[in-house]
Amino acid sequence: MASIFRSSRVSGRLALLAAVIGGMSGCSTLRMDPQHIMDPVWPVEGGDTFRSNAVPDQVDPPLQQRWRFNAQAGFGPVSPLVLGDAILVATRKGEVHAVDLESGKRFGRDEFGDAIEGTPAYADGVLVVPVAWGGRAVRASDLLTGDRLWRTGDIPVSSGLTVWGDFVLAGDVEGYVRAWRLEDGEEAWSVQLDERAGIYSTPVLIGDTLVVASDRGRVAALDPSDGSLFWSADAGAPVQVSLAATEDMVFVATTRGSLRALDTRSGGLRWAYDVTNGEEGEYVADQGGLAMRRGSFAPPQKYLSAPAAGARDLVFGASDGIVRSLDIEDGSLNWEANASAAVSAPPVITAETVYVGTMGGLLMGFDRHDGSLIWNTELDGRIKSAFALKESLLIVLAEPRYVYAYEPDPGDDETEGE
Amino acid sequence: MLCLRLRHFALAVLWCAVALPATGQYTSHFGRNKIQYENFDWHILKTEHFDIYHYEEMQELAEYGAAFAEEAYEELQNRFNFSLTHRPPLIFYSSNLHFKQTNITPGFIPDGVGGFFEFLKGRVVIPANGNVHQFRRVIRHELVHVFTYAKVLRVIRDHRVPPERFLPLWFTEGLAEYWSGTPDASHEMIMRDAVYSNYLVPLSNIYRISGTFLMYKQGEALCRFLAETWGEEKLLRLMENFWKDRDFRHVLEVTFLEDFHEIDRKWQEWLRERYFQEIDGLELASLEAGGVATEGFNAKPTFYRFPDGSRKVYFVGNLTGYSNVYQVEIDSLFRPLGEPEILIRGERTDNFEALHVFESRMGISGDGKLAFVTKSGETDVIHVYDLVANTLLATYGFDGLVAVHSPAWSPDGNRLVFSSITASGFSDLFVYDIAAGQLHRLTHDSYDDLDPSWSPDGRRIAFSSDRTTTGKHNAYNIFAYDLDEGMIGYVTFGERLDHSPRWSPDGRQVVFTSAVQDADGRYGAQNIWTAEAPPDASPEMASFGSGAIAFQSDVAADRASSGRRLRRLTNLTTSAFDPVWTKEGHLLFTGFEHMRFSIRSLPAADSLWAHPRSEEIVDPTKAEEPWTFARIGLQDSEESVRYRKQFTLDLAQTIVSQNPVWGTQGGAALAFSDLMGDDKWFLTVYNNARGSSDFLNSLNVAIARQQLHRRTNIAYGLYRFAGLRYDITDPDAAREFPTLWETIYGGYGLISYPISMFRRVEASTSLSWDDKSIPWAQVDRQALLISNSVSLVHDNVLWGMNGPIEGYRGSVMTAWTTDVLYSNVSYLTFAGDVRHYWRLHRYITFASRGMGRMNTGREARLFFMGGSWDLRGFPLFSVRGQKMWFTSHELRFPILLAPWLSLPVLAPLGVANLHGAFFFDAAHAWNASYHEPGLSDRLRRQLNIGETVGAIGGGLRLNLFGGLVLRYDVGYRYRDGFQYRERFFKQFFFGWDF
Repeated sequence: MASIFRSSRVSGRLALLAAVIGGMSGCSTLRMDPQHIMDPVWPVEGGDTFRSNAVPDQVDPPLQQRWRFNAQAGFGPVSPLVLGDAILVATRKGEVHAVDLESGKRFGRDEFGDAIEGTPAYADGVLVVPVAWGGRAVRASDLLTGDRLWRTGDIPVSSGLTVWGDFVLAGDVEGYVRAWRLEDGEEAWSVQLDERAGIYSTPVLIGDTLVVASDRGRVAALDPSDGSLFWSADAGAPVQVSLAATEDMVFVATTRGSLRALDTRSGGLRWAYDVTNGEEGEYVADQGGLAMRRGSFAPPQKYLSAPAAGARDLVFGASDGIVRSLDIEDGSLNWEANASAAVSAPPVITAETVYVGTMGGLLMGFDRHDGSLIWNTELDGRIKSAFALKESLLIVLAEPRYVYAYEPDPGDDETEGE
Repeated sequence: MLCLRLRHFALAVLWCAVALPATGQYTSHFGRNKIQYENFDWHILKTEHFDIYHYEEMQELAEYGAAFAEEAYEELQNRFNFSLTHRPPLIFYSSNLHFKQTNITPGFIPDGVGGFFEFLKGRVVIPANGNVHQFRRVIRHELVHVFTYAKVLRVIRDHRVPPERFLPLWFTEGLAEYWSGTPDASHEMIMRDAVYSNYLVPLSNIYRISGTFLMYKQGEALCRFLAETWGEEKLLRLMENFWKDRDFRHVLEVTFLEDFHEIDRKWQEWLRERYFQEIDGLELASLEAGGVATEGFNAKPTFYRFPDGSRKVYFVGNLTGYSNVYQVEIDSLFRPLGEPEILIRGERTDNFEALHVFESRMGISGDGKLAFVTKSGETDVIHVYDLVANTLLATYGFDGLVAVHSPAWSPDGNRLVFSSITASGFSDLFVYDIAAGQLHRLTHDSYDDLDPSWSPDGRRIAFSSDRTTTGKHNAYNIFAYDLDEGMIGYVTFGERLDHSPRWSPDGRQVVFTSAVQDADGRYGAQNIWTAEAPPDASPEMASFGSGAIAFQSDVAADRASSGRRLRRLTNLTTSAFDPVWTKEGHLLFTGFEHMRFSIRSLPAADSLWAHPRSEEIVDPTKAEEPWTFARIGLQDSEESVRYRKQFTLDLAQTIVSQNPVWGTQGGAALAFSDLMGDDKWFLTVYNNARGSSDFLNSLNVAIARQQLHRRTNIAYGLYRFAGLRYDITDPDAAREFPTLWETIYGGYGLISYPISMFRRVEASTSLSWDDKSIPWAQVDRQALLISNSVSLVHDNVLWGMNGPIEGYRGSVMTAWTTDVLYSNVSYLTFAGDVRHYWRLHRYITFASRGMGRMNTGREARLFFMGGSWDLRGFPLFSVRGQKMWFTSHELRFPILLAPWLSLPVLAPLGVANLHGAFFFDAAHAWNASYHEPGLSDRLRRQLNIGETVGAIGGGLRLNLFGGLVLRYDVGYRYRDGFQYRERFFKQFFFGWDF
């Protein structure tokens, strides 16, 4: 099926023309000083390879906007990366912007062809970017020199990348999990999870186990060294958002209102929480599958956001506009709160506060213990991308094309909380 | 083919703007009128996510609609995984007749349009039609569009791709249908028929049926197939992948990871498997029932046997484009004795403005009086036509009743029962006592009461209604209204779609149509059923509030406990409608088959009843409390306020041009309107200065306003025009290069009063200061010009794909233009234009046109002619004179109605309707004298005046994409009164036939 992913936007001659024009006008590059990338604090989607979206520090609401940067295009569900004092933001126009964390000013930019849906990966000065359309879908650049290192992959990649040792790992939209050598982009191995399934969910890496899920609901744990299968499980419904994990469990959120905690070692179901079928919280087994019931008009399914996994709790949003916090050990409901609009971006957990971005354009802070709304502010558009955090600076991507940096407001007079 | 009142209005403003000194020289423009009969007092109900626009009379319905909208929002937010960040305006009308008056779209809205979503201001406009379920469904449908549009726009903007593309119509409409609710009976009917009759259009060719009802249903089936096969998530993924390619087929492939043709094949296979498995035992109406009227679209049959023994079937039909009431004589076996004839010509006159072909049944009294409904002005009216005397007896309209449907006679012929939608938007039953002139209301609630039928004993009225306890799930049952007791009882019961009841001649049975859902929730074919008539003793019935009624007495309870026997008399492939059990034992009905509605008859109704295809026992005693939907009332909403106009931008456009002769010129145009589209402002600024010092002198500004919310439309404006002007109509300008310097200041006003849909009176006035200078002719004159005109326009023509094909339109106009300060200008204008279209055959039209124009007086302007719009063979503007006549005659005939069937490569180009034409044109223009004897031959030939010129020839017409007509004419042009054949000409043009 590789042939169907030809990009209509770039033919050979057009690419040549673009190269000539680019050469005449001066190509932009993404070259960064070493201090920009030393001590990366949010180097992958979710902050770590568990995609926990959680930090032990507290970010006290209310927050105030420090700066706003116009990225000139919208964002996918990607999380920005925070490397030292630089933020790397990928856009659906195919650009990666390097923004100074303090000032919000851009100091570098590079174009990678087509839209970037998944979060790039960073390792040892190399940035690897997944491209969601066309061929050569994984592209690496040296951040110190700005050089393009390699391009590989025939199938577009819409999920985030993971670095394991010398390998870059990704799932593509045809359901293959692939490993490329970080050094030169040569494919080391590939396995297909399902036929006619795509991978839109960013995998998690738990030690030496890579867990990946497809949009047919297949969850698989693979050996990142050779792609061999450790275990496989059925999520019961398509999985389109990033997984999250702890040392013991992998959390899988589906498009049909089910959140499952799978045992990291065996793939066995530890608990499940269901927000669509039956009593809320009650897991109704075997209700998933891809096909809808024949002849029926199915009730609306609820899309769950990727969860944020703290030490004791798991917080996620849903298309019904409810944010839920579960006990991470048994899946029991701690609290739920109304966000007044659909929530598709994963929340971020700080010591005392959970921050949530909504499709209604609200940035909200909830008390981590009881879910009470502490603070909220309205942005220019929907928040549908994952957050990033550096210390107390919250990086938010929102429509139409803005990157915001929010920090605690030293004064508390403007609190808008209930 | 949109004959837009707005179009002619806007054009009139434009004409005035460019040629104000002499508005009178131009004739009026044709087109039917869209009339604002009502002065709606709009209020806004603000809910959590929407602004609901409604008027006071429909407050209750608006509260239902508000709840439906919020309910749909919650559901669609989940389905789309997306929230709206704006408050869509939802504009509700309580009936289709009110909806037709909306200015939000300039076009005419036909019957059957459930609502629309427009992109300019994101408005959703929805009428109710008496059916609350349907109202709910349409709200869902339109809100799916709102979500789809918002989501796709976001995808386009996120990816920074050019916004000129959008999802294909089959997908957007199919998705809206799919996510509106379970497939309705009409969906199943169409898809069954498409599969059985083998006219299912493959996905690869679906553009061929773009915009049709079939496309909606196929699109719905496609979305359901995609969701059932790959999951609903893929429908969203399809939208999210939309940016990847302009070719949606490719987007389908990358989304479903299947070859496009394989998806297409699988879909067709899925459909066939779905419907072919139930085909055993089904009967085709065309084989089982005799055809009474099978050409065209026909519905609502009724029967009368005349005192002389002759028999006729009457029905509403559309065979030629106009809807009419037809009659066809039949023999004792109900076989037609000839072709159907038109009894009442619809859609051409004020009295019979529109017939509701699929909505309103007709009734015939025992003494041969036909009662039928047409739209006439702002409401529907009931006409009574004496079939024996062949004359229209009376027309009845009722205050407060907007839509009227399905009149039926009482057995004594003195009263009519009918259903009506009032301004509140709900459908109730009414009885009109003709002799007393009194109207009685039988029901008064939010349930949808339809198709009443009087029992032969005159004591009960059967009707269809959703007041059944299962009505919350969109079920309709048959009820009987007991006139003695004023109570309503069940005739049928259950989750069924029971419609169109009629009594058997002996009054013991009620015959009706019904569609029943199978175990999967799918509706089966709509067949003809009978039910035992309810007990006639009124004490057996008692009321349960305002809705459901059940049997109460012991006797009735015993009877009811054993259930009511329903018999299915047919087992059709698709659907039957409007059955009539005649005294001669035949069942007349409308059959749907092969995408066509035809009138059919089944013999031996008694035998069918005695040997039914199946039986069902229903138990009305299980009826429970009547249902109701939730409402969001004023107390629940955030606020309700009266509508106030706020103008927002509709259009902003700038133009800059460079020309070696005229230099650099530039300008901008802005248009604003209010949310209802009632009030519009236009601002045009243009500068044609040749240097900076000339900037202010060359400034052209025009501001205009149109107000359309009243029956009388008003426009007025102010302007300043200045610069070098090319004016071929100016009598002082040079003949060969008619340019002059002119500066004009002024203002104007226009009013247009529609007498009816087909006729209007227009009047205009303008006052302007005009300074004209033609240095090389030593002309330098100022004038304070007043120009007044009045005109009468009539238009009832029917349009085909290439132009008018039947009907008549004409206009007469007179105007006076004078200089009130210096008397430099003073002339009168008279103009008339008449066009008649005779339908010689269904596809052959003979069109005739006659036109005369005259400007007479000081500085009277010149009319011009030439080109494909009128005098063919002569270039545009080549015939000029202050007086002229013109006549044109054309025979239009088909060559290939669907050229793409012969040459499939033409299909993607939208090529359709290849017609031929033979034409004859003749014209004569003159100034001082008819033959202009004093004029030099050179000037005579240059202006083509003083002699009769013309053309004879033939041509071809071809329609592209339904809206663009290519015309190619060849012929000879003639001079000197056709005594001299001058030369052969060929002419190519884009434009409609006259």
